[in-house]
Amino acid sequence: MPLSHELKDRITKDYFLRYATKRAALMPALWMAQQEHGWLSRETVEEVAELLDMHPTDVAAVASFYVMFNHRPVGKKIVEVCENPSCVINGATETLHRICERLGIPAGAHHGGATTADGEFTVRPTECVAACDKAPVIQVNSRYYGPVPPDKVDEFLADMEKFNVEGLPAANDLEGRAKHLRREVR
Amino acid sequence: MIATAPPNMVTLTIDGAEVTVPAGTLVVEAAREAGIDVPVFCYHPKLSLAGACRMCVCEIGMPPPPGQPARPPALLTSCTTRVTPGMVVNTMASGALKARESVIEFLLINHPLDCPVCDAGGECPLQDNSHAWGPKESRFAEEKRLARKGAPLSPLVVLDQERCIVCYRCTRFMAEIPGEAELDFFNRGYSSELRTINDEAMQSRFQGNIIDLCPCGALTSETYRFRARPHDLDHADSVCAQCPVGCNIVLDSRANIMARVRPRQNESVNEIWLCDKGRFAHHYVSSPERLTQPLVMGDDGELRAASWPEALGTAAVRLQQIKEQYGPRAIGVIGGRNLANEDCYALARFAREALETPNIDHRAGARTAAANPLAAHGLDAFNSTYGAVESAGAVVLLGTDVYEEMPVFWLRIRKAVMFGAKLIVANPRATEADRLALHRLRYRPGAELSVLRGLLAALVESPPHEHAPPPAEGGEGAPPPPRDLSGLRQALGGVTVEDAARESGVMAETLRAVAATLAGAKNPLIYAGARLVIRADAAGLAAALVNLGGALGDRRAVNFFTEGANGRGAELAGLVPDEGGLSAGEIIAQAAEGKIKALYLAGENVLATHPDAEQARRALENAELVVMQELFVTETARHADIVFSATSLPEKEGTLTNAEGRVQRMHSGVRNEAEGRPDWSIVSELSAEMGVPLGYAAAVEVTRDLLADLPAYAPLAGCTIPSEGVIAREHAAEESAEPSAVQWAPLTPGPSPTGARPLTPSPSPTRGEGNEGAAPSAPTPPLPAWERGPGGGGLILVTYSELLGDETMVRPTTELLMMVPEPYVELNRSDAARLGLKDGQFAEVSTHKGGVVHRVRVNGRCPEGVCFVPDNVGEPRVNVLLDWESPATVVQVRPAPESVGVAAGVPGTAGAVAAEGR
Ligand code: SF4
Ligand code: SF4
Ligand code: FES
Ligand code: FES
Repeated sequence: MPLSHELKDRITKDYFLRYATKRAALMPALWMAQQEHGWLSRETVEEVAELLDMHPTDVAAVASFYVMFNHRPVGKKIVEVCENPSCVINGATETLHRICERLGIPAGAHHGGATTADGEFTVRPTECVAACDKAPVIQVNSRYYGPVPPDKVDEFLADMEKFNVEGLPAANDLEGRAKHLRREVR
Repeated sequence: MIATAPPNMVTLTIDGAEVTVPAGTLVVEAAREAGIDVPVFCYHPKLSLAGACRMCVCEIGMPPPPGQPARPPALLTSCTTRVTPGMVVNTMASGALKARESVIEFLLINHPLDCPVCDAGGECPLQDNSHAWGPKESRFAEEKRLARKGAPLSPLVVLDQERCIVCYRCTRFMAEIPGEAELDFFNRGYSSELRTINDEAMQSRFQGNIIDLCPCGALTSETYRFRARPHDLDHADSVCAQCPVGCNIVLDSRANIMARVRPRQNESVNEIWLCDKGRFAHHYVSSPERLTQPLVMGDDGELRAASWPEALGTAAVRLQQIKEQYGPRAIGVIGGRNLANEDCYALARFAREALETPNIDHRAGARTAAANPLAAHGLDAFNSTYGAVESAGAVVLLGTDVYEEMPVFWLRIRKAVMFGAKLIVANPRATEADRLALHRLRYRPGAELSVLRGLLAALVESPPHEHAPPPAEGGEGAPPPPRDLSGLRQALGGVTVEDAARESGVMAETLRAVAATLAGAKNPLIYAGARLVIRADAAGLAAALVNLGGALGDRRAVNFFTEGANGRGAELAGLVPDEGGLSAGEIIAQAAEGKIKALYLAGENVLATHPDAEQARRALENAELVVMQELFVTETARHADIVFSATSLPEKEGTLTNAEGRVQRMHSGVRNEAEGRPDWSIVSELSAEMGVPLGYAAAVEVTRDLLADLPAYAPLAGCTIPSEGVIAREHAAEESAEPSAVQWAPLTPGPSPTGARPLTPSPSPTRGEGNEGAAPSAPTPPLPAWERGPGGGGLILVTYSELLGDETMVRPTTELLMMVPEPYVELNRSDAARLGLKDGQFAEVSTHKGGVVHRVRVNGRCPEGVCFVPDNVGEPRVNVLLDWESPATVVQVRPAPESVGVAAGVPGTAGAVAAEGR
């Protein structure tokens, strides 16, 4: 699916004017493209490259530097378990393990994460999200949830059913994301 | 002493010695200047600064600002720090040594240290620097990181990720020099990996250079891997034999077999770069397919091996017979553009003195006798140097796909554009150069003259101003007067920009915009494609180009490219038709008619290169005698009566002359172990056999003779050829630096001296008749497709050679052959839709002469009504479609019936053809 005209307009009419080179608009362009599509497909990368006069390899390489860019399709809810010391000391490793087990995701599916077959959840570890007071902390679609020690995992998952994902629409709710983007443009 | 430094110079102290260098110099370069080598990895003088490896740290101190206490010196990377007055650099400070030692220790933590099986071993900066600056031992006892080994980045370049020290030389090269950022680091830190998007094979024609740049064995050459050690190799300085750029190379051979080709630095020609054809296509030299001894046609019509005396004797007797029976004009000599100067000169002498024929030419397919159409205007075919483009304010590329035609020169044009030169690309099909162009002129195939006349008319409308210092601030000083172009107005005879726009298909506003860009540019340079030289309207094009140069301030702005490794050398050595002689194209045309009885072909495969394969075949069949000098039994050689086994350029001693006219020396890299002889020697012996000894026993004797004898090289008399080569034109002391006085060339192309049909079948009435030098009629090429519009059926065929084709010199390098595109016909989207063709399907392209079936590429490169087929790939070649009698070719394109079967593997193809085939 191609990028929306709104997005392209915003890049060319707004961001291009802010920087000396087109290339400099790459990060906002990628971020907005991900908001629209949920992830950065080969097609999206090529479109961004064309818009910015870059080689697709160049775009893909920049995107690969950042873990917050999704390089494959993601679920509606992205569940990120912090794997840094405060959280690990409080049992994050086991929390992550249990979440994967309950959702039927092969444990240890690290770096890049893994998505449930029904496309509901993507689970992945993350670096410190600066909420050590809630350790072990989880982020659901960029919202904090916690603490979730291993024995609270079932409670957390039950809660997830009605977890209010305010702000960001679900990662793969494309229509919602497009609307959200339009709101931001205003 | 600082005060005494000349302006723009900076004096600093490096390791206790005072050094004065231009302001802006990097400390690492200033140290080199002083004879001190600071070790580096990521720094490279041809690339942008990265500061990525920290190997070059030095202790650098600055004098304190007045009134402030001195600060202790700091450890700074000398490759990113520029000199300042009074700076004190200590390259061997204990802190710097310690830091370098640590850098090496860190680099080696994850380096596999597999030097014993690494190609770079023995010529590896990482090895050398570790030895010189590294710690004696590693303290790292943990497990090393594992990563991709032997991973192909393309059929040519192999990556060993474990060895990579992440210096970004390769990625910077790709992004900055050819501007093809198709290689980059993915992920980060410890996980950094060199990749292409989706691990697709690299496409660039310059990727071999990253192997040279890599400071370790991370990037290796697929064709050289595991084949030799540097100390096994013999080296010979030579010149690339693959195109007219004339890049300087070193031939590395092991046990008399070519191992690899490396660039040799020549800042005037290739700097330190090579294209992949020049670098990788050398396996033909040692190919088992090479002709090992002369062949003579037996009574049974089969070629069989013969001794040299037999072959020479037979050839001499039969050439003599033809000469006596039909007269010398019944002999045609074609070849030379891929031979050395010595071969060309000896061949020209042989043709004139022994065969006594005026029918001599090196330009396959040429329609006119003038090998240099600019000679009529007192100019060389190329009037600047490659280097001059770097100071050009504007660059015009007319009728050339320079990336494919002159690859390494394209890198220099690109550099000029990066420095701010304005690029104007005029070509019937979009080229790589278009990406950087300020103006792109897509004209009707064959309408170059109309484009030029349009630019001239636009300049006459608003003439450029004479060059003068810009008026001082405040409006003082009158602006320089506009240049007087009244003579040009006369010569144009009333042709308007609108007329030219109509004829060429380029919009009038575009022509005016280009003229304005050119008028405002300092030192514009104009480059015209090699194929324009051999066209019937070459003289008219030359006149228009000279006028364009003149209107912009200097007629010498005009430069024609040439074809073949030594096209320019062959031209200057006299392999050109004599007064009344036939051009190469005409020789074949007349041989097909049975008027030329004997063909002498020196390294020219006319069946593939004459723009009418059927006619070339008839020529070979109808000629009573065909004598060839060849490396391989080409399809043409199969029709020959006598084939002499020649030696290849990398085996030769001698000289080559590149497109800019630079004479360069080459030395033999490998010996021919079979019975191959250099071409100059073949013709001298044949000549002697015919009673006209040329008297050459060694290549140097021919070199001496040709430099002394040929007028083009007269300024070089008595000078030795320096290692960077020499251009006679530049060498001539009497050459005035001033632009020559403006003389407007009459724009009427004279009647074609050769009787070849001009491009225009029926000239329209001339405007301004009676005027001296009146403008000619519009030479509008026949354009049925354009005129009839979509639905008219035919498409105009554009064809030229791309850099990589499946040619005899490429085929033995299988890795390079994988980079050669599958034969294709390129269509515009709307034509493809009209013809019911989709990308990836097969189409039959045909004329009354014949047809080829090629894969269709649908894109926006050709305008509507035009299609493109490269002429150096595929069997048969596209020249089976061409008709020598009609210079413009209109082809029919239709879905190929066999594509249903052939393209079954292409998704979505087979059904589409069945449904849409007509
Ligand atoms: S592959 Fe070689 S040139 Fe490229 S970054 Fe690694 S070490 Fe440097
Ligand atoms: S640009 Fe031409 S001369 Fe230079 S390496 Fe390539 S083929 Fe050889
Ligand atoms: S370590 Fe988990 S939020 Fe900081
Ligand atoms: S050479 Fe200076 S930082 Fe790499």
